[in-house]
Amino acid sequence: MKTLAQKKSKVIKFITLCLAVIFALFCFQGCVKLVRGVAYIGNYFGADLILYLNENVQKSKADKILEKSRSLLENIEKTLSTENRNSEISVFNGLKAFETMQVSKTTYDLVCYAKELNQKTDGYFSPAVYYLLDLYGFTARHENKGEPTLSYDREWLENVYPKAQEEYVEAFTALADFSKVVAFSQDEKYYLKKDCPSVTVFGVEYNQKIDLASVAKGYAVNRLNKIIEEYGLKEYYLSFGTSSIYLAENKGEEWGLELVDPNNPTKDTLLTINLKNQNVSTSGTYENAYEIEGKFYHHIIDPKTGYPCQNEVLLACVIGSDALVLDSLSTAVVALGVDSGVEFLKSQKEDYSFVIVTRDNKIYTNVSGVLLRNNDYTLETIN
Amino acid sequence: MGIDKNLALKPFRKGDLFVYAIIFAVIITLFIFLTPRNDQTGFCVYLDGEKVMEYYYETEKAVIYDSEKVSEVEDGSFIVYSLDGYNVLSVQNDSVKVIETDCGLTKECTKMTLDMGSIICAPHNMVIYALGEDIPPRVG
Repeated sequence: MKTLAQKKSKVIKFITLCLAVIFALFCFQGCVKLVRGVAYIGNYFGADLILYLNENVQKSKADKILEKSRSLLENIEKTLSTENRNSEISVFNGLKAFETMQVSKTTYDLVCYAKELNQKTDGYFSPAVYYLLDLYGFTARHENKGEPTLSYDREWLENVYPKAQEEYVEAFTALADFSKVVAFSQDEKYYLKKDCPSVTVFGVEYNQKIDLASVAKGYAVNRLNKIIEEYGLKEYYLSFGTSSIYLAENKGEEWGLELVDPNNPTKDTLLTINLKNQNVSTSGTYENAYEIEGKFYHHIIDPKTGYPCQNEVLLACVIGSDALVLDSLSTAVVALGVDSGVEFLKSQKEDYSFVIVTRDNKIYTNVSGVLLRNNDYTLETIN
Repeated sequence: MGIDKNLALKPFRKGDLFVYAIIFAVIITLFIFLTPRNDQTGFCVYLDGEKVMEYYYETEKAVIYDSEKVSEVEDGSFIVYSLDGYNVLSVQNDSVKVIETDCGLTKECTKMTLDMGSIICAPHNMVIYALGEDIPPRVG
């Protein structure tokens, strides 16, 4: 016969065991929840920023990465976005000709960097083509093809904007010279000066405007990679809009990057390239483009002529280690055409890989192991 | 044999504690490795092979790629229009379901969940995939 004390002891043991199990479940439920897959960081500079984690990560760690990333991007946007009326770039855009303003070191550094890229690309990369882009209908305010509001706006006719008046093209080309933005420092303070004279067309005065979004996005990607790597993650990719991506590792191996077919409206895959620990930037002339009198109108502008670049290139994809520089390089290749674009890339200090797609369904590349997924195209390897 | 009263009154003995420690370790191990978790972070909708929208559970944000084919309703549901009709999608508890369709297969569609891998409405050529599965990187 069991005594009362023995029974009591067994009850205590049973309750203790139950409590231990419940305690264990509670303790570990929160901290071992693992996540993997797509995380939406946010929409910045008009593009969706997405992190794809290809390894199981503690949810708390992933949340911290997302929180830090959002905070970083919000700060960059506050300083550099033209969509934010109080950003330093917006304030600069509001200045009259020859006025000067004080800016943060980040803005100063990025403007200096953009000026370097402007020189490097012989002016083809110019953050000062805002008015020309707006004239041809490639800025955010034209997304819905609304009613004309500014004096140079034309009504959208089915699938084209009527030809712009020469007076505007000529005047806005004068504002597209980015070398007229002067960055200087004095007594550890940083300044930007608008050294470009204003232009007047049909009685309306226009002052130079700049947009550093592409440089800012590259800068953000570099900073984000540092944050992610600080947390010890290696298996991921970061996608900023449809044109810029950073590929880390994929289970220790390379990622199979799919390049969209620029001739196909359903955006089928044109080819696959295997890459790891590389940044990729693409620029193309096929999105929202239209044609007037045999001329293609798209968002890559030749700052010297004031018109969209006219050549055989539909899309240029440049692969390298620094996100900050890639967008300007892919833009320059589209502007220069195949032969000059390839020469231009070869003249750079770093060895860049590239894929260039032309209107006549040819693909020029120096990447080995490209897997072509559409037999309507021919692949030409350039060494 | 007589019972050691002092021992009987003690709830734990050395051996007991050892057994408890093993049970505890086994529970934690099983919890970590065997507890089913929802790895899905959202879903995307394809219509005629073209991606028309994405939805992210964490931020409750929808990215609509084609506003002529997808519209958001005030109650948080989405209507996806195909050439032959429509499907109404409802997002609840980090999951998506088709709650209404005019394809004649309402019963079949409304029973499907993304845990099965995908939701397919064949008459409307609409497919819903879970995000968080393997998604290849794409540019261009």
